[in-house]
Amino acid sequence: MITLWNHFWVREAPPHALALVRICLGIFLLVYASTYALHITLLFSNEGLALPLYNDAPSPLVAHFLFTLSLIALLGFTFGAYFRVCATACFFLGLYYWQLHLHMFPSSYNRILCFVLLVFMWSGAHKTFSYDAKRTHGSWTAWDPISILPQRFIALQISLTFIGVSLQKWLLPAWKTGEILAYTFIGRWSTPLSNTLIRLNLPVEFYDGAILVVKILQPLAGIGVWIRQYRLASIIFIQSFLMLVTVLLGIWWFIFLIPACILFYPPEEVYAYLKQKNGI
Amino acid sequence: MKRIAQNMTITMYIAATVSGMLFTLFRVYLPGVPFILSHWSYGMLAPFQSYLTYNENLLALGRHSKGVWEPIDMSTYKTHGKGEESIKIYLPAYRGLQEEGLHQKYQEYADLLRKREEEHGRLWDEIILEMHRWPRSPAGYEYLRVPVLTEITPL
Repeated sequence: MITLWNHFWVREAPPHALALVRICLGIFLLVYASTYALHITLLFSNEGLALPLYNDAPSPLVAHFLFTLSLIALLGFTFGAYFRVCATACFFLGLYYWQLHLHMFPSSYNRILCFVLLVFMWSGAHKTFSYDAKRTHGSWTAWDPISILPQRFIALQISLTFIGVSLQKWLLPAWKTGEILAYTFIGRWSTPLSNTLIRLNLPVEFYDGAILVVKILQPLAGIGVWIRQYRLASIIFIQSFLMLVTVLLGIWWFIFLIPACILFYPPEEVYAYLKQKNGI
Repeated sequence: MKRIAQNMTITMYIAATVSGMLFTLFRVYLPGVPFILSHWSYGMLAPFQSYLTYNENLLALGRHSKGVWEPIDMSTYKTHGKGEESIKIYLPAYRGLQEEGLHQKYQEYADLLRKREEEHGRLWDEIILEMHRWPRSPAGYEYLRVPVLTEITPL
């Protein structure tokens, strides 16, 4: 039992899967941060409209400095350059921006992002495909084994989010029928595509059916990602679902979970695949 | 030592997640788990719980020195998409406050808005905030935003 526990949670494993997620997450966070780049004074300084939770908003000069620092930390995170320092800075700057502004938009994905950054701080995700690997071992593709624990935390959180969000749909009154979908498509999260869909005037049974399919498949996918023979199908469902959420509701922030699905595969298999394909 | 720290972290994560899941499904937390961990975990597990049948928007009105009230163009202050902006207008982090506390936060927002307007050369003696609510329609987001269907709540 203890052997199984240790094998699942704390065995040493190749870092490649986590390193790929580090790169994708870093790019995602740079894009996310860039949506704030033109509004630093307004959102993050005392000459804007910030209503911070704890510390007062700083002057525009300091706000710009901190934002620049965030971008540098994110670049370091993405390239795996002085990774521990950069990942720690990313996490704490993330908390800072939460108390300053992100609390105005306390979404699940912002919470998951904070959690993932916390996990990355001590993950060893820079042990390959990184400037740090190049600096210490002379090659970008050199690698050292890392604990599988950070990979497990992130993968578990993704599958649990899918299981939690789907189980609550079975209990919440709002999710009894497809009305929730129809009203959402004409509300504040509507997109041109959802507007087009709603104007097709499809019968309410269409929306009821869509909700039922999601209520059945979401928990199955959350569990299926851990079972070898159902893994690919579950990942395809999760990725399709996240893409639909993006194009039908404009909620694009969850797409950082798409590359993270690689973490459901054993890291040894990911390494073997990369070695076979690219000779790493 | 490292193994002990790892197992303690795993235990903490499992406890927080069980607590978050219990709250997601049954609205109870696991006793003994710090609230911040349980609540953060719940926040990661339970997006999109309900829906509205109406739209809402925050409207700011400014009073000129001559006493005339005029709507303030808020588009200058909206930095992101309609979905994100429509969440921010509720000041979610301050929803847990009593009515008085929430009113005070909206007042702080109005004061900041007045300063920003001044910087743009638009002087107002007073600014008040209102929440406008109107029914949703397949014909468009603002289609039913007409006086007879719009409910106004002063903030």
